Parts: sequence; C-alpha cells; structure tokens
Amino acid sequence: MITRKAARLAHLAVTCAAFAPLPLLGQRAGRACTMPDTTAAWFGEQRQWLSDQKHDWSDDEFRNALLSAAGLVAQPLTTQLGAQRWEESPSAASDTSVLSRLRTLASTRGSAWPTRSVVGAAGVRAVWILAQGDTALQRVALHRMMESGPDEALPADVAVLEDRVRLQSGRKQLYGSQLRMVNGRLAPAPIEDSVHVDMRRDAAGLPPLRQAMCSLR
Amino acid sequence: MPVALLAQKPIRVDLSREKVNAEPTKFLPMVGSWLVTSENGRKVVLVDGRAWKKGQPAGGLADNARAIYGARHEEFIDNVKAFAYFPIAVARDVDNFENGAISVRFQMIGGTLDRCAGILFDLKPNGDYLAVRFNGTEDNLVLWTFNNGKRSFVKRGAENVPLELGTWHEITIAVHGTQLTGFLDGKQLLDYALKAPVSGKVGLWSKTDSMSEFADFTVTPSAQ
Repeated sequence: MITRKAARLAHLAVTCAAFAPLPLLGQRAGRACTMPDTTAAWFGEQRQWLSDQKHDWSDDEFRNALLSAAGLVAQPLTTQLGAQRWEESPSAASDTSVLSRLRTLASTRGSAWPTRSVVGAAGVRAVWILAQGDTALQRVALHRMMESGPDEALPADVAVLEDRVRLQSGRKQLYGSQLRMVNGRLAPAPIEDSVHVDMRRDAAGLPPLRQAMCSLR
Repeated sequence: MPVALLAQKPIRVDLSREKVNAEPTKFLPMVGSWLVTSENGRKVVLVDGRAWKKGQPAGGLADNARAIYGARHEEFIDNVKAFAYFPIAVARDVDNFENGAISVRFQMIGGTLDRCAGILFDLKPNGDYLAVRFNGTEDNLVLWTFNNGKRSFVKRGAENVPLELGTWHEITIAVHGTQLTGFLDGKQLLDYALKAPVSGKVGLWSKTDSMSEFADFTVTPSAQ
C-alpha cells in the first residue's frame, strides 16, 4: 500500500537526487553556477548501475513490496547528485510490514540483505529511501550496503546515507551531501577534512560539491 | 613508542627525490594504485582507491615482483593475482625484517567501502604476509594474516579509537621473536604471540577503495 508518507519519501528522493538539465533556478546574474556534467564518467556509471533492464534479481515479491513502501512504483530512478536538504529529513514510511522485514534482516547476522542481485537497482534505492526515514534501521542498512560492495549497493547512495548517519550521531559529514539553510543560503553542514571532499565524492561516483549544490538552487 | 634493545640504525624511506604524480620507486606497487603526491610541500605516498578494481593487480606487478624476488617472482605473482583485493606496496630497500620496529604516519582521506592504512610485514615469496592496519570505518587496529590468498582475522586492538579524516596519525609495530605489539599514536593496543618468528619483506597496506596517505615509513631493526 502506498501511503501519503511513502509518496512524500519518494518525492523527496526525486527532489534530492534528480538531475534535470534545466535552466538554473534562483541563479544570481553573473555568479558562476555550473550544473553537474552529464558527460562525466560518474554520470554514465550511475546510469549504468541504475538501469534495471541490464540486470536480473532473484526476489520479485520483496522488490515489489519495497518499491510500494518507498513510493517508487512507476517512478524512474534518478541519478544521485549527493546534495540533500538536511531539514527535510524524511519521516518513517507507514508500511510497517516492509520496515519490520528490513529490521529483522538487519538484526539477523548472515541474512540475505536486499542487494541489487536480490531486488534489483530499484529495490536497493527503495531500501535506501526507507532507511533514511528510520533512524534505527539506517545505521545497520549503511553497514550492510558498505559490506555488499559497489556491485550490490550504489556507492553514491552509500555516501549520502553515511553523511546522514554521521550527522545524526553528532559527527561531521564526509561528502558534504547534507545542506542546511544558513542566513538564507544553502550551505553544507560541517564537513570532516573538507579539503578532500571532492576527492571523496569522486571516489563515490558523485559530482563535485559545488556542482551538486548548484542543482538545488 | 617501543625502543628495541640492541637497536640498529633505522632505515627511513626517503621520498624527497620521488616524482610527484608518479608511482613511488621506494615502494614497489603490487596491487592497487600508488602515487607520490605533495602534502603541504612534503612528498607522501597516496594509495588512490578510486582506481581500485577487484582482482586487478598493479600495472607494474611483474616488473616489481621480479625486482624483489628474482627467479621466484612467478609464484608471488600467481598468489597476488589470486586475491588482488588489498592494495600493497613493498619497501624496496628493506631486504628482510625479523626483529625490531616499523612505524608509519598516515592520514585517511576517503573511501566508500573502506578507509584503511596499515603496515605490511613478513611478506614471503609465495605472497603470504601479515598486516597490522587501522580501519576508519570500524575505528580499530587489527592484525590480519594472509595465507594462500585467504585473509584471516587474528586480533583486534584493545579499544576502538575514532580518528578524523585528514589528520595525521602513526601506527607502530614492534616484533621480538614471536611477540608482536601494535601501537596507535604511541598507545599500545595490540599484543600477540605469533605462531612463527617474522622474516620477510615489509611495506604499506590498504584495502579496496581506501584513499590514504603515508609518510615517514621507518624500520628499526634490532637483534632479538
């Protein structure tokens, strides 16, 4: 069942992650604001990873339940830019049966976590969305996604989830993906080792932070 | 900091004559992408996990293996290729380390899967080795063994120590016979009795997509 909350989660994911090569909104005249480069390697690699037409998955039933709970049914998967508004933290999805199943899997060592080979790219994105709205789940989900490796969990999604987990536990973020309004302007929440932030973003398959922020203006 | 009895002259790997943005010549890359880079005007070695691909050894593996093991290099290459999962670079000028101390300064920069930096030692011509490493995703110092391409956990440090990215820290190991101790920033966290005395080459260790910088790799041999 798709609830209003789940639909909001899906909308948020699209808002945060979508890349639309449209004219810039709110860009000040004369101020450089470069949109993410869709010819760059990260973009092609993400599109390839997110294309479910090129991959098989083993658990169709679980995938459908995840997509429904996350409001991703009939929604195209959007490219992860690694720029979210922290204040718009998603609330938990109301479909408690799927969340319960994820929580059980998270607490059972050796269980088959829903990775890309199990639920497809869309299913993994659904897990990512659901985890963001559930503080108890997101830390374990992050570890499971990290353990499963780049073939099974999109590194760009992992990076964004890690930033959320770190900020929630009082640590600085690593990828600069969580943005806050400061004096009426969007600015990244505190970043650990900010000198190397774009190097880390590059490694995770994300565009440079300045470009990602530009896409939200 | 451990000070070995009967310590001999330390061997400090000097990077000052290395070329920036080129592979280090003082450390021979076997797995992974290793580069000399400049950190505040000082040359350091960077393992760049962005170029990491599972199962892919370093481009110069054959030449580098031949440089350190001569006629026995083929066995080494076969084993390294079989588990090219952990980037390693071997210190060229340290022929054999048995007793004493090894230290290295490191800073973690990033990595989505792992954020590791470690000391490789007891490296055999067949590719077996030991490693003491810090992992920033787990906040711990751990001793691992690698035998016939299989990694085995041995012992975890006494406590977890969260380290910030972009800050320099130091790992030190001290070996006396079969007794191994491991230190992080001068604090002893590991103490372990090895099954056999150490004897082999040494170097730098990393894991999967870690991006870490290394400096001041120093070996201080001692008589047991």
